[in-house]
Amino acid sequence: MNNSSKKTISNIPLQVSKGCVIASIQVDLTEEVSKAFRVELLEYIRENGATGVILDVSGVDIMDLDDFISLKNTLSMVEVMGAKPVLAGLKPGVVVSLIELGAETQDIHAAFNLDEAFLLLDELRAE
Amino acid sequence: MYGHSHYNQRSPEELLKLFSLDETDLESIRKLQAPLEERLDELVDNWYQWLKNLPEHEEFFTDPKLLEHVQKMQIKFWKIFFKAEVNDDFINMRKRMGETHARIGLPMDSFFAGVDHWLSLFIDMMGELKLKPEEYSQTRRAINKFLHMDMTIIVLSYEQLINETIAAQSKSLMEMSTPVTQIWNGILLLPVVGIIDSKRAQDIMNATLAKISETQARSFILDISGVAVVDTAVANHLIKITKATRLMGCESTISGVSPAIAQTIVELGIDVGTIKTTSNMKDALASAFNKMGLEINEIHE
Repeated sequence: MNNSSKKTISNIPLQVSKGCVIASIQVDLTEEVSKAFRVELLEYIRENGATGVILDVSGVDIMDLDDFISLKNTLSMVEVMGAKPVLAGLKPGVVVSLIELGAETQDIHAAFNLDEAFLLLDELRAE
Repeated sequence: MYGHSHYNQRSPEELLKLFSLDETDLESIRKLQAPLEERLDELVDNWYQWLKNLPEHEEFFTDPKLLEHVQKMQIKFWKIFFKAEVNDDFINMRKRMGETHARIGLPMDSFFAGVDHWLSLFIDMMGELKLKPEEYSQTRRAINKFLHMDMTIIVLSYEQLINETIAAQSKSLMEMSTPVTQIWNGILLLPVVGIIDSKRAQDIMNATLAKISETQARSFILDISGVAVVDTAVANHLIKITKATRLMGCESTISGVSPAIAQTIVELGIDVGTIKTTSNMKDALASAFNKMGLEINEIHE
């Protein structure tokens, strides 16, 4: 098991646990950060042959619709790479504002926290 | 919400203009100040004689201390009235009076009847003053206009306070009406009764998301069997709520969808998409238990 965390340009640490990449986003998702992060994440998945990705956004207090769509696109890209993406730890306040902004949530797999995310990922991988 | 009626925001000048009161009118009212001071006690007695025959007397004026206070306020009220000086102090005093009436719940009909009786007492008094006919009718008209303006201020503030009370009550009712309960580990239930408007939908969403983050629930059942009308707006609110809970990792089920509601939803062409719906709460609960890997069995002895 590779538990070494990787320092990145976007300042979003990536680590692998149980064949799954965990990215914990603790910074504001500006466009540049998003783009840099996306490249780093996809590259990291390929390097480690991960079968699952958990985006932990519990540190994000503000997210607008563009940030969310960009995040969603990242999740779709992860899926195309053959890994199952899960969004974990969205805060109630963020959720309310996203819904009010009309965010589409259909294809997103979300979990309350990391534990739940792992459980959900196991379910998804078993499919 | 209803808080501020714009009428109450009118300045003294605007009020005078609205009731077309000019300085001549006010002056003719002021002329009555001196004769009134002489007769005021008599008039007050006279008025209370009239009041005694009304049922309101029993309700509001049985306490002698209170009665004394009310009489004092009345005397002050009419003295200020005949001073005929319309300024902010005047308006504020009248507003307070309206609020007091609203607080004690004085019915408007008895209030107006009382004011009207006062008016007739003043008119009798004017008769005794031996005014010239033109002066008499001019003064009478002036008093009428001024009194109506006065009543307007009082009634508007009465209305405002009552509306504020209603707004506060409906707010607390709204808050009481979103009891999200945890019925099992990881399962939340919210029965909705009544109407869902955007305010309430917002309350439901906030209450639900707060509860999800508190209990880490994975299933949420929204029971709408008590909801009278489901139209496009309500359906959109429900869809929003389910989307929101999904982002928190909690699956929503809408239970209690009656045949009538099912029909309207389809007829209105509302896309319920991936929302889970059941016709009764039992099914919703069963599927929630299933999701949690739980099963309910009878105990055989």
